[in-house]
Amino acid sequence: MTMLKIALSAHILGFFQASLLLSCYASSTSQERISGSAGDVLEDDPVGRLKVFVYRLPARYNKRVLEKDQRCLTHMFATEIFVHQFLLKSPVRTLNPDEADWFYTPVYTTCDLTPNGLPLPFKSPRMMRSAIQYISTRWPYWNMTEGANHFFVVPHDFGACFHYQEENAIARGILPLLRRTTLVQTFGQRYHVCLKEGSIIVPPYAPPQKMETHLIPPDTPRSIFVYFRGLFYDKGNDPEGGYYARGARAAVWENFKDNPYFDISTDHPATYYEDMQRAIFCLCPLGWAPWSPRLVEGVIFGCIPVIIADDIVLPFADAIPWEEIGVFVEEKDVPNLDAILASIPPETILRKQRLLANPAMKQAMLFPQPAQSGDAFHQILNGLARKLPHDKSVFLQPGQTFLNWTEGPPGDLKPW
Amino acid sequence: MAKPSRGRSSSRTASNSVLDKFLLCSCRLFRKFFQGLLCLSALVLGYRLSGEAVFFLGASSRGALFLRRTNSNSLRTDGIDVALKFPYVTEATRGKQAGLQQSLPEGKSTRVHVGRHEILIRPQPHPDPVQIMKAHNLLNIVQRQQTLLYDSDEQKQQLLIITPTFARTFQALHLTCLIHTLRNVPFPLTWIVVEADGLSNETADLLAHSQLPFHHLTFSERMPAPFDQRWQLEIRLRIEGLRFIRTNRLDGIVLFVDDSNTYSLDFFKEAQRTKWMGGFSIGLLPDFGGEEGKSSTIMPVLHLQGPVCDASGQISGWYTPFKVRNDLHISDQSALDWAGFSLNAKLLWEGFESPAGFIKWNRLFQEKPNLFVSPLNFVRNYTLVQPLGDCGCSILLWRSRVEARADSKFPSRWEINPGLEIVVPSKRTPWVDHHLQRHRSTRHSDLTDLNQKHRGRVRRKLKVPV
Repeated sequence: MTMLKIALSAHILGFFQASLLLSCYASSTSQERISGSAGDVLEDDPVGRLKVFVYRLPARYNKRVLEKDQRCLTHMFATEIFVHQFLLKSPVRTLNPDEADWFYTPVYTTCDLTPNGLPLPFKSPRMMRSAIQYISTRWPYWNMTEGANHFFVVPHDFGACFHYQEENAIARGILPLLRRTTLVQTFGQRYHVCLKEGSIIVPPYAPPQKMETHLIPPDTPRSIFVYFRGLFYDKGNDPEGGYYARGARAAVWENFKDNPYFDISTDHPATYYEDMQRAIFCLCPLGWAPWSPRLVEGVIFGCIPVIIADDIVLPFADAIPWEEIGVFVEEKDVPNLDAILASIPPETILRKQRLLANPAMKQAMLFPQPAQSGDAFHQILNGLARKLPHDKSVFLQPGQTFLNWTEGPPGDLKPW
Repeated sequence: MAKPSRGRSSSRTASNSVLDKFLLCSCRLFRKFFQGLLCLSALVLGYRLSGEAVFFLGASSRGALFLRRTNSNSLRTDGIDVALKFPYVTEATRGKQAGLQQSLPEGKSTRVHVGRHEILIRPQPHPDPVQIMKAHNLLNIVQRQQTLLYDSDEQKQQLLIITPTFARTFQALHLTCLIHTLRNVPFPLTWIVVEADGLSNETADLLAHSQLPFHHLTFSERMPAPFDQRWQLEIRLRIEGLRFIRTNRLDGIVLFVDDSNTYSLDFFKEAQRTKWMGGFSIGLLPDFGGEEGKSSTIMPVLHLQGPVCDASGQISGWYTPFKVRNDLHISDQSALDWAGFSLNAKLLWEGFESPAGFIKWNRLFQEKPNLFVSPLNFVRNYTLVQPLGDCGCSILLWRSRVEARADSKFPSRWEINPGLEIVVPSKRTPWVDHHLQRHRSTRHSDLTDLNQKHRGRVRRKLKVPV
């Protein structure tokens, strides 16, 4: 009798589980869980998994630079300032450097702005070098590893190559002193000199409050197929054409300017954020560098990003499965962009929208003030925590040395 | 990501070794020599060759120079880039190149490099209609999913649409428009058509082709010819519809949709919010002989009729261009159009416990059957009416009583059978038409006969395709 009861209850349980599973796969849910190659790590909490020591540098490396120009807090390179502010108050910070796993140097290299607001990188190598000299002489921890357990935030166009023009950036390469450090940067392109192995790619800074004020109700129908606002030709820097964006943006314009389903133009509408929420696809083509804040905006507003940048490495690529969320189009396939986008199966599009609707995904792209759990600051710490414990090669043997302090162009060796 | 407009020629080169400088100088000299050579060849061969060659030699920028350096494995075959023969290698970059080669995995190379790229334009950059259709379908699917996800909280009640009608010239015009409007309503609906003067083929035909679920009710009384007497019969037709709902206990929201009205689809969406009784604003387009003569000289004539709210969103009265008495409960409710009201069908059911303030159907007919002239009869207090459509501020429907003259004729069911008479012949030829001659017995008199015929109107029966 009891056996019968047990069998019956097992059957009922099984049935219940099956129906539960079925409801999980039903497409009437509005979001889906994100799991990348590193697993379901977007929701990981880094507190307790690592300790970060923040060097105390003189004000001329950070505070005074910021006082000279307050625009550094709002432009897309503001990551370095906000990461510093976050780490000072974070529970992962430790005041005892002997127990620290990672060391952070707060030096604002992207804050020397032109009147137009664009950062000049000419003094950045010297500034970085000077900062490293300061920490290596006052604390012993740099010399113990030659920087292998240190990380720096370099959000400039080509990261630690410190130049805005790609040829010059490649010619300079990554600053020699940063060769063993972990770099937290926005630039990511495979097989490129300026992307070091083990770097953590982060999204560019986008102001969260400004984006939140432009949200529209989610039942507004998405009636724009493809949306893009920005330059196609850069007449000032590339008068002949063909250099800017490797010709990809110009190709988009020439092929689709007459297409009624491609809402692309160069103007600056006041309803830019609202329009993105009414679009299914948002183009994110490369410009002078492959990364752009459009990716962040597309993710926040639920618009599937169409990434047109060959070999790009997107932010937190080990935690976020970008292939499943965005659409990657090679630059040579741009003339067929309409066929590519229209042939995506509807279930795939709906799935991508569900993944984008996941609040963990949106949170991971933002740098909110004050920091919230799951945001980009925490993803950086998660990335650093995933690299622990340090390999034996991190710590130098006595007498071993890798860095050459006189390496680099002579202009860089001058004191800052 | 914007670039500062500093020009491309501003930066210094990256290296400083003596070897570098020597190579650079020799580069320049060689380039000048080569340019001279090409100039001469241009004289012989033509301008184009020399132009392209000059470009190849870096008339643009150092971008082409760096081409070699950055990508040691791949070779671009398309595009205008051409690799130079002089690799600009320095101490610093040599180390980097070695490092670069080490980091490249086996068999992989980067296809991406710095320099001028071709702007790829397909041969026919016009929109492809096949892709446009596919994109349109995708938009539809996405929007349908959105309504599924985000509109599911809202109720999707059935709409019970009562339409009084009768066969007349303009009926086909009105009903065709109404049918298309109702077909676009995204909610389940049942259409109750109450026809005066018995069942007519015209109405039956239109309803049969409407692809809507309908009930065709008939009323034996004939619609009076004068326009000002029609409204009373219309009210009775509507009550007939209400009685049908009561008898069959249909559930949903009752809307009074006249066949000559025009509706925005938002009206039906807004009607879903009706709890018990709702009021809408109507745009009253001036009618040519509808409910006449009630235009007032005192009130401002804005051709609208609808509820007016106070600051807290509660209904405080109606605006109507017609002259009404202050005591709205008695006889001047007829000034308020039925189309501006929506009812919950449960109020009509027998045995249903109506909420406080609502009068039951039985009592309405017991008290004074002829007093039922407006949906407001259902409430004791007009403040119970729910103002819909943004508190009456959005006009979601328009009433226009456009009708033909009372003596106008139209073909039954708008089918042309037998054929029509010719008023304008399709051919006017001066010569004899052999086709026409077949009917005539004599030949020589044709010409005169035909001439005479063509001078006037030729009556011929031709089949006009319907």
